[in-house]
Amino acid sequence: MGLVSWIVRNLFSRPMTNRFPKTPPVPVPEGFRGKLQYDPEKCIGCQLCVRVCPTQTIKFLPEEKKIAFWVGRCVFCSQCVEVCPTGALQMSKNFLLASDDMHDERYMGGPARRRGMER
Amino acid sequence: MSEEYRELGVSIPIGPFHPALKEPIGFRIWVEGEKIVKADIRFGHNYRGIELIGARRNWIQILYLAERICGICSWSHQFPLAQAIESLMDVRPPDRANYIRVVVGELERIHSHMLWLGVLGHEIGFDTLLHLTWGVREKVMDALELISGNRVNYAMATIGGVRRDITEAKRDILLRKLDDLLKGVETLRDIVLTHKLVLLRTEGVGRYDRELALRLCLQGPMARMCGIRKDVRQDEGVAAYGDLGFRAIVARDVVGKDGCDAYSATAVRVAETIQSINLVRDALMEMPPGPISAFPKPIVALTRASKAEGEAIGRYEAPRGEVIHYVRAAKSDKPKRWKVRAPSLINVYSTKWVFPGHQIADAVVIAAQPDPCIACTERALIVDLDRGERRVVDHAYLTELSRRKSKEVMGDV
Amino acid sequence: MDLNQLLEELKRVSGGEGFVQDQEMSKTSRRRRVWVTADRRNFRSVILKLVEMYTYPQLSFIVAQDLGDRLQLIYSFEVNSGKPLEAVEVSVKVDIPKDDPRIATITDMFPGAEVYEREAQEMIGVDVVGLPDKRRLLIPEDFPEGVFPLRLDEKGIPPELWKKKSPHPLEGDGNE
Repeated sequence: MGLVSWIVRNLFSRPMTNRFPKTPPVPVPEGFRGKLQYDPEKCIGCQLCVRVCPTQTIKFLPEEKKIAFWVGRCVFCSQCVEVCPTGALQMSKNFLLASDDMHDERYMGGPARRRGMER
Repeated sequence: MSEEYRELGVSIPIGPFHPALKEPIGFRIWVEGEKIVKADIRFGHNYRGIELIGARRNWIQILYLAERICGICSWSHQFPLAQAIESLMDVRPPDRANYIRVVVGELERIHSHMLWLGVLGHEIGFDTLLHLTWGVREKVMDALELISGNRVNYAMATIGGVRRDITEAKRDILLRKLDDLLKGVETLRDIVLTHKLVLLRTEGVGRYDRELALRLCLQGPMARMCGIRKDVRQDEGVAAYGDLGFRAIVARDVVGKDGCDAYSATAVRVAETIQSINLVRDALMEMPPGPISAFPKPIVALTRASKAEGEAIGRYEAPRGEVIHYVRAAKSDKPKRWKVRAPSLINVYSTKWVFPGHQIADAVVIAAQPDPCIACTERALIVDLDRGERRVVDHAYLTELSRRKSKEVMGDV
Repeated sequence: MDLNQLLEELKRVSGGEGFVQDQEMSKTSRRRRVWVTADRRNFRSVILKLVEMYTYPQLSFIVAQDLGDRLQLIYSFEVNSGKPLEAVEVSVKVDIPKDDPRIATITDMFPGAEVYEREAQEMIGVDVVGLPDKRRLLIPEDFPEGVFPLRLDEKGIPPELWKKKSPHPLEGDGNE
């Protein structure tokens, strides 16, 4: 296949990328690392996730022995999910996280009393 | 500097922000007519002080900081750091981890080289090439997404192995994707290495010589285009490259001679892309079963690393050349000193010796030839317009100049 | 050449200490490192010895670090490059006292060392004697004189340069 035939063929094929957000996004692969999900019921307060989190997104709440986090800082490495002994932390497939308010409700995770998370 | 430079006459800044440069770096060239007589490079616009930040993170945390040194070679920074920490602890990763490391590393090399080829096409006004190569590159990104879950910042390396396994099902999909990819890249190779425009604009441009390359200690494809058969994958056999019998490619293997110019650099990179596809296939076929990490959980690795003491160096051949990480530990969970050397530092700096004698229109090709990755280099340049006599040339003009030359040389033949 | 032989050879020239790291990485490959200390006065002869023994050792990098009571530069070379599975990384450590931080350049042997020496000069404040281009490389020109970012003592970055409140602080950030 030469250069010209490739170009001509491309005229009749679909584009390599899709026109998101006008079209629905392409499905994410298995093992995709999206927004962090937290189940306070399962959490035993071992603080392993706090130790390995590269960006210090996760904060320990000593009174409840639970954690709180702010996804605005998360780098989606899923290290905390890997170390969690009870599976209280999971990566969801949600990647639509853009917002013009950095204190948006969906960036917050953990128990309702998120001390230090608000300005 | 101003007095001495003022005598040299007209100077032209390229950068820090310029369409020929994907990241901020400043080249400043002094010209007599159309001829470049002197060049200067200044780094620093992207300096983030990562080495100092790293000294405040623990061993697991800096792996992800290292990954974010550069968006293109995220694996290439995470892996040598993981190696350096393994060397501190004297841990040997299991064989399967070594093979997965080869797969991820080589896929990253394919996408980096494809990106560079597209950028070269863009610089010389061959935008068709840009669109075709980036189309091919999408397939590699999909493959990486399949393995790691995300397109960039794969978060694959960890101390003592890798974090995700390549299952049988994934392996079959990957092998199918690779066949597709190989066809595309081979077509691209035939187009690029024989196309009249590419030949006219790259042959003899940015010419080093072997002696200069050896004395400057150039890295990666820049050394191999000068006929220096040097490659960390071959020399040290990192990960499973030794087991796979890897041998480096130099320009004369591809085009018959070591041109030491932008054409040889193109030839080496295209040939390496095809070699990488074959390496990924070999690694996938020969992958032994077994564990993928020497430690069951990252927290175990962190605890073990916190007891380590001494100094270690981790090396890996990134798409642009050898990446070296040095760490010094003193029985703490943080490094005492972490030093990163990215290949672009010397490769980009070396263009200073190469600019003189070329035409202004070739400047963008020379600047793009080492595949400058400024984020890796952590540096860039400020052009001070108050110094010396200057003609403010905006970037659109310079790219226009390069494209006009392309049109002219095409008209000659 | 055997690693220990190489180390002995270098120790004979430098009169310093040294050790060898030889670790297994995979079935076929090993990680080979030779570390040797040298004096400020004779480190150039150690590097010359390397150049004599191997044509064109490749300079990998120069690490500049502050060890508390003294500064240290580590000149790291790859020898045997181009020979499959035989590469050795030789690192020459040179101590520099803090009250007289001067060291000779190696740019006459390795012109490419210029970029590393310029970096070392601005990062920990060593004075590289004979360096052709002494301008700053990475840090901006309006950065205060006499402040060296990687120095751990009073010449390092003073707190007022970095003590700014984070735009999105977390409690216990160490950044308040």
